[in-house]
Order: sequence, then C-alpha cells, then structure tokens
Amino acid sequence: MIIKINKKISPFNLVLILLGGIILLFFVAPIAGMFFETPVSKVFESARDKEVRDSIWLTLYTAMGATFAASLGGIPLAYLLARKEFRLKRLVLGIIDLPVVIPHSAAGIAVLGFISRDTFLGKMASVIGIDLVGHPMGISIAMAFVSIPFLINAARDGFMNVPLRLEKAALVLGASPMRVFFTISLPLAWRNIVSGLIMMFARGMSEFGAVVMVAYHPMVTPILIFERFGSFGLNYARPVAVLFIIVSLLFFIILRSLTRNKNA
Amino acid sequence: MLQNITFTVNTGEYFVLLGVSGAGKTMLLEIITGLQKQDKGHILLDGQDISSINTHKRNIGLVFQDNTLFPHLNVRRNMAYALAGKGFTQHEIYLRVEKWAGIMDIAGLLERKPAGLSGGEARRVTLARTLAMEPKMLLLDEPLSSLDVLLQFDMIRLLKKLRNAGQTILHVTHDYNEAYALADKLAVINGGKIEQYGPPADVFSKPASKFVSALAGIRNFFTCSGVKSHDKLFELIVNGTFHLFSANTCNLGSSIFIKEDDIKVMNAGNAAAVNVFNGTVTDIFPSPEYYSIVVDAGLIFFTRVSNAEMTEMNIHSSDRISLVIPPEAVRSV
Repeated sequence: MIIKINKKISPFNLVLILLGGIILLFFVAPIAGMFFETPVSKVFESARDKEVRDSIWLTLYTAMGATFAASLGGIPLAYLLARKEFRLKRLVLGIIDLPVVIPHSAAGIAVLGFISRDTFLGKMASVIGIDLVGHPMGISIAMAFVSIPFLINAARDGFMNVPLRLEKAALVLGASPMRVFFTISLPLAWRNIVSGLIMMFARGMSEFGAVVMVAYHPMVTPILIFERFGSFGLNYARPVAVLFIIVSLLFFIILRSLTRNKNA
Repeated sequence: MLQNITFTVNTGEYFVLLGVSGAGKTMLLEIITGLQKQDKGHILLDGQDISSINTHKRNIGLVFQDNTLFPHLNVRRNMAYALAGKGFTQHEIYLRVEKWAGIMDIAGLLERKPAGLSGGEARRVTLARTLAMEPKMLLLDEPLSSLDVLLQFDMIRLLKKLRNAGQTILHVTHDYNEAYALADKLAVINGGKIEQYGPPADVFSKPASKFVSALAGIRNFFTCSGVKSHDKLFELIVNGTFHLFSANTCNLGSSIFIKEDDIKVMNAGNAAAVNVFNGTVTDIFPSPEYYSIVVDAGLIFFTRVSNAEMTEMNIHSSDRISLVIPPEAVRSV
C-alpha cells in the first residue's frame, strides 16, 4: 500500500492515519513476531517432519476438493441469485450467510450429524466402503459447509456486475441461454469468481472448529498445530504454524498472479 | 404498457416508429425479439407466428441504444459471435466478418478491443455485428442518439445504404427529422398506442392528433369552439373568443393548426383582406436558416422569418407587427 502524504496534513487526516496504523500493526505485529521468534532451522526441521508434510498436503487437497466440488453447484446458484427474482429469495440469501454467523464448532456438530454412519448420506457412503467420519471426504464436507458463502457471495457480486444488456444482446445474436452463460456471463464475472474460489479455499484450509468435530484424525494442519501446542507447548507449535502460513501465502500469491495475467 | 399495437413492416421497407421517451418503444422491440413476453397478441414473421419461439432462434437483429459490445472479445470476435455454433466453417465466418467490416468501414478496427473504440466506431461495430448475422429483420433502438452531428449524417447514409440493399428495418426514435429523413413508412406511438400510421409526408401534412403535430414541430395549435358559415369561408371561433377565417370548417372541440411557414409577417399597419392580426413580438429565436418569432396577437402565434426578411424588416422584441394568415392555411386535424 502506498500512502501519499501531502506536504500539509490536516489534523483529521493525521487522526485517520494514526488509527489506521494501529489497526495494521495489530495484525501485522503478532505474525511478524512469530516469524522473528522462530529460527529458520526449526522451520526446515518441520518441513522434513513427515507428519507435518502429510498434514499440509491433506489440508491442501481437502480444501481444494471442497472448493472444486462446491463450485459446481455454487456458481450456478450464484448466477440464479444474481439474475432471477423469486419468492423467498431473501430467505435463501440469509441461509447462505448462515455458516458465517454460527459458531464453527456448532457447524461441525451439525455436519457430523449429517454424515455419520446412521444418516442417509453416511449409509450411501458406507455402501462404497467409506466412513465419512474421520475420512478426508468428511473433512472436505466440513470445510465446504463453513466456507461456501465466500464463493457464492463473490460470484453473485460478479454476475450482478455483468450488465444485463450484454446477455440480452447475446441472446438476440442467436446464442442459447447456456452459451450466453459460458461465453458472456462467466468470463465477465470471472475475476470475482476466482476471488471467491481463493477466499473459499483459504477459509477451508484454515478451518479448525468444524473439521475437528468431524475428523481429529487424519490431522489437518490447524489441528496439528493445536495438538503440538497442547502436547509440547508453544515452541513446538510455532514452526509448524510458520510453515503453514508460508505455504498458504505462496498459494495465494500464485493463484492471484495467475488470474491477474488472464485479465490483463 | 402497450395496447392495441398493430402494424406491418413489409419486406425491404424502412419503417420508423416515432414516439417520445417512455412511450414503450424499447419494450416493443424487446417483445418483437422475445426478450419480453407479451400478455396477448401475436408477432408474425413471414406469415409465421413466432410468439412462442425463443429469442435466440428468431433471427431478428436488434441494435440496442446503449453499447452492448462484449468487452472481453475483440471486434472480430464480437462480429463472429452470432455465427459461431451455427454450422459455418471458420473460413465462412472469416469471409462474413470481412464482408460486413468492409461495408461498415470498420476493417481497420477488427483486432481492437471495444474499450479502445470511439463512440461512433462502437456504434458502427455494434451495427456490423448484428448485420453479420444477416437477420430477416433489423431492429434499431435510437441508432443516432448520442452521436455528434457529423457522425449522425454518416450513420443516416449508412442506414439508407442498407435499406437500398433490401434490408428490412424497424427503427425507433423520438426525433422527427430523423424519422422524416429515413422512413418509407411511419407510425407514431403515444401512451402505448399507435396514433397514426403511413408515409411520413402524409403523416406530417395531415397529422391526426395534436400529439402528432407537436412531434412534427407544429406549435400553432388551437381548439375550435364555434363555426359561422359565410359565403365561401368559415368564420371559426378558436380558444373561446378569437375569430379566424378559414377555408375549412371544424368540429366543435376539435383541434385546428397553422404551420409556422404559412403565417406571413408584415410591418404594422399593412392591410390585407382577412385574417390580419396586430400583435406584440414576445420572443425571437435565431437559427441558421430562419428566425422563429413568437407573437402575442390575442393568441400566441409562432411564425418564421427568413434571415433576409429579418434584415429588411428589422424586427425586435416588443415591436408591434401584423400577422396575415391565409384562410387555406388554417387546417383541422
């Protein structure tokens, strides 16, 4: 961020900068502190730890799986919500925001009740030999449950920003509604949708509360960090946390730069 | 709300629908293309009812008033949009795009993105994109609006060229000059209904309502409140008390009008046989070809004086002048 400072700063601007600075410091300082207090050798040591590596890999692919699967239904739903008026639309919008406002441990309990062996979904899964509880698929479901609002809301904003007249023009030019969706609406809303996908992926990766209810094992990294802290203390948890943050940041920087190139 | 709208556009005809903004012109175009559904009635294309056919299968082109170029596609891909997935080969699409780019004089813009086009260029590209689909009928929503005068003239020539090439066109506008310049046939739409329908010369020489006359720029409009029959002329009482001799009679309560060109201006004191009215000049509006002069002579009259006459007569605001209205110039709606 670049703050242009004029030669004369009004007292009001000074107050704004001061208060804003405190807030920035508030979340930069703990993370920076954690990085400074963790020796690089410890981070490398963590990276060599198979349990840590497995856990990060598990977290990445369950979050990615959750995001991909959710996008198949979430993007069409976002399009519907952006374009169509129907009864109870406000209710639907409220329901979509529900996972964001309820405590995630409570969300985890809800998901657990939904996928455990005696439910319809649980029985379906056990037919093909999968027990969703304690399974990566169950982890993905828990992650999706709490993170899908980010995708739907971002995609909906994106579709709403596409001028309706462009879709109308495409229809008149002889494109079927499906072709209009794939050639006009989706490409023009793409930037917002990718933002939503990244947000959902990030939110899924960092999920603790809902995932821990569904699967303590296999351990996603947020649970591993919690466990190392509980069993061995702060100094053992910190390198894993730093490593996880680095991996996450790398991912987001790569994803962001990919989408920027596409739209340049 | 549109009601009882019935009109026919013949093949190869340039049909103009004239109406003020908010008259439902755009809605009518959207109904013809199927973007909106009518509650009742039918739309026939080549004698076939297309009311239940989906928009993308109607093969009717519509150029919207606002820019509808797809911002993520370059001009070439915008123009090819209607042709993709219609069984054309890549080469046929290429030829079709080149052909219309040539006709519309945009060949140099094909690789550009819409964001880099000027307003006039964007308008031509949008039109070219619709023409590339070679629609049975072309609908134009205010195609000259927001273009400057020079570009408007270019666009009028282009539209004439299309019409002469046999393209059937339905053009909606609020501008009477535009309608007059282009239309083979004209319909005036007001309050959701068609008020008058015919060749533009007929519509504007015999306006069927006050609204149509107003659109045609006629401002001398009065209400007939009494008639006395004389030897050869009728003595009309208009707007309650004003007496006017006319070659035509009028029905009580109906409207009569006098074209501005038909009212002669003379210096005060000149005498003529009938319909000489002395009045005061209230306003003078200059324009490149003439001066528009407003005279209060018991009724407010609008009249026109050529620039040469103006210099000769030297008329100023608040001057007393005489107006002469030939009885045959008083027409009833």
